[in-house]
Amino acid sequence: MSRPERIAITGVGAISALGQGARASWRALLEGRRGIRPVRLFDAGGQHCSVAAEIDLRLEDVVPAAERQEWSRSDGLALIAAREALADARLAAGAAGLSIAIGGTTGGMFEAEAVLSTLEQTPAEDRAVQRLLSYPLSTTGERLARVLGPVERVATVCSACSSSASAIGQGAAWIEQGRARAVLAGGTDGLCSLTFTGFNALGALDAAPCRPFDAERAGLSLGEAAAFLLLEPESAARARGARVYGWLSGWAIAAEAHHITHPEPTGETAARLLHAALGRAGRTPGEVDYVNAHGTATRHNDAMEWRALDRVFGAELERLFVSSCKGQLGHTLGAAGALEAVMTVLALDQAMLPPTGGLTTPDPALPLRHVRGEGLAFGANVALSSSFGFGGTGCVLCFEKASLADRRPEAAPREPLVITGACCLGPGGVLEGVDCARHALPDETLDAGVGEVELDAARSRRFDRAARWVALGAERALASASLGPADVGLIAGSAYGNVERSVEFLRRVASRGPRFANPAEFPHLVPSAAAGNASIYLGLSGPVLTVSDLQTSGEQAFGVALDLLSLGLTSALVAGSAEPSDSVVAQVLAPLCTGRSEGRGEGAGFLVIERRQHVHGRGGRELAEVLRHEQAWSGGAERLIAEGSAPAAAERARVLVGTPGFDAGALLAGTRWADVPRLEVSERVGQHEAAGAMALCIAAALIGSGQIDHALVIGRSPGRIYVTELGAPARDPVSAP
Amino acid sequence: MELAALKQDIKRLLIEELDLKHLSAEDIADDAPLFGDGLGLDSLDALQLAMALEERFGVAIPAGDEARAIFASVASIAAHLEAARQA
Repeated sequence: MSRPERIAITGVGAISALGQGARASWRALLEGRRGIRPVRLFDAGGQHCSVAAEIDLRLEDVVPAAERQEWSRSDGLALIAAREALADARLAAGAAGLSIAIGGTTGGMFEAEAVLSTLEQTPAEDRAVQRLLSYPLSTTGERLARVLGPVERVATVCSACSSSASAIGQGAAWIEQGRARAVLAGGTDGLCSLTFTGFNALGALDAAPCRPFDAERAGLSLGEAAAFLLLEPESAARARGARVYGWLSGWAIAAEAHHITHPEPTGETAARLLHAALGRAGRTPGEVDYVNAHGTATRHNDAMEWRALDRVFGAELERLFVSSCKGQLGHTLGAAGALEAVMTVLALDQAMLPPTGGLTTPDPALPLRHVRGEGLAFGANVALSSSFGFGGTGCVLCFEKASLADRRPEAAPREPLVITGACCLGPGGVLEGVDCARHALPDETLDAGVGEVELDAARSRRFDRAARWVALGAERALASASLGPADVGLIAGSAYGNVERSVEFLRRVASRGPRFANPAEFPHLVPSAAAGNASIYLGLSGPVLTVSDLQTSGEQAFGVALDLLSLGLTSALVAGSAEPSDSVVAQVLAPLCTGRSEGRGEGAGFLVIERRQHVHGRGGRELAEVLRHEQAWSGGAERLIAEGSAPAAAERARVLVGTPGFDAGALLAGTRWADVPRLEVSERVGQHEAAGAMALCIAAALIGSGQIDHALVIGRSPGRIYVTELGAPARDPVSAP
Repeated sequence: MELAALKQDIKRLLIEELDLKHLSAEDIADDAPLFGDGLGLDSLDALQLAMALEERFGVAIPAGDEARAIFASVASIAAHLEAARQA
């Protein structure tokens, strides 16, 4: 056993309402300047709040000229911040071995709003529809990969307002496993009318610039930003003589399973996260000097956060400094975690603490050692940065000054990861465990369909079909594994998020005015809402994340789950994806983004994946073992296929292709898998973006039922490919040490 | 509008707007508490209800403690709408 490599931060990049560039934003932050002004990007009239931290952005200065119509504000912001982080680390674009982990919530929503709210009147071939190319969250990562690449892998993570903090955790996971030499980790979120109207409808916005931790605080101020850290393993940073700003020494992701918008009043989950991040860093509460709080300035968040800090730090709270950047930078939603991570890293590096802008009368009920007015000269050694989001997923990052010695405990031992449960929703109805393999039988007629999903009516009353499918799929996958929900997490893929429901919300605002925006609808529009709702419904308190990667969203969810399990951050996860039919996706988005418009179906697939000792400890049964899972960009696909183990006898092995219309023949030709029978899964389960997740379920079920011993599951989205190899579980299980 | 019909209308609006499709108007007593232990509604429902009542009846619901009193039950909502109409 040993420690994984330390994670060095060797570059920072940010663009915010306070400036273009991490340092420009940082200096303005220390001066106490506030970036919250009347909104100019769209008409914010007639609403309680009409201010936000908006950026003066000229997209045409940033975006490749030929693609000006196709890039979103979020994409452009991301490119500016990502370029800066690379340049700051003195890494050339195109440097070998770059990976990208990106978090966000709005994607191309600003550009899509006008098109989506008038969709019936817009012919499909209209130039305006091209604007929707930037709608999927995964587009930003795709564009960064193209401009800054070649890249090794990209992950797009959404956990609402903790999205980019979670993405930094994902980047850290790659480095800790020795899988990446350099990771651009961060996030981006452009302002849009949907979030502005929605937060106004919730009564969550202060009409004035927000006042975190103030007795008079009356809600948050929205903002927009992009921010990235360049993360490297210590050895790589040292080898090239890179400047090290500090270390990312610990991180933790977990869910409250409490309520879609209300933070858990006790602060119990937030406290669990603070403890867990410190535990991974090998630090005690007494060693922490500074906490960069989520500090949104809503009554509930700030009170919850204080309770969590009080639980973890007790009397130490009189000593350590706490501040929130949101009174100056605004709440930049999916970008906030990364933006505040950049500021926290600079605080350690520059020995200065940023103030809490807008705080004039500290709430006596939340006694904290605030930084007021301007930056404070203070040399902090260990700092925490907290982020919490709708649906209840939080993330805490622990940063340390560059001069500090490594105190992290030894890593959890590497262990085989195994699949113990599966559930498919599709043409065969709801199939569980080894029954998922029925999708592979040529003589089986599957026409049951999913029909109405039965959930507890009172607790699921706000759920749309996506939330229902994720809740049911995860519930049945867990049941097939005989595993309860305690401490289990959920990684759910979604190619486009909840488009139909967003369109309804936008149309209502367009026709009735913002005053009649549906407050109870809005929290369900964030791409992570289905997974958040399912976690609350099922009581899942482990990491709960949504990932987005077009046709390979399920494969990416599987990969993110494996990363978290490998590191021992959690012992059991549900992973998969759900794509119930959505008329806007069927008619517009899928044809535009994937080029396929005919015969669209619907489906979902969810697997339970565990560390082997966890399965043994509870006496569970294994369906299949995960032999490897990888993503390749830029023509690395052939290498990926060739790298795996040789298949078992051809009749005892199977290649499963999850992506509709993807002919894997050319890719497999000349490899050891060329003669293995191939199963085109989408021909059985329908053409949709969850067919890849269903392919993984079917492969596990075929192995678990003894029909085959070895499976190669392949999926593809434009420019990248995913390969998963599954094998039969060890017959003679190793006993626990 | 007669008070009984108004209450019926409010119940239908509650079911429709708050996604209480598992209930019917008969399941909601005029004086039953709507929030907390009653129907199990929360503050998100209160916002939605305020918006929907204003849209349907053209009567604004004040924020804060006043709203809490109005939203106590179907009967108290009906009383507020009646009072606003006569004002």
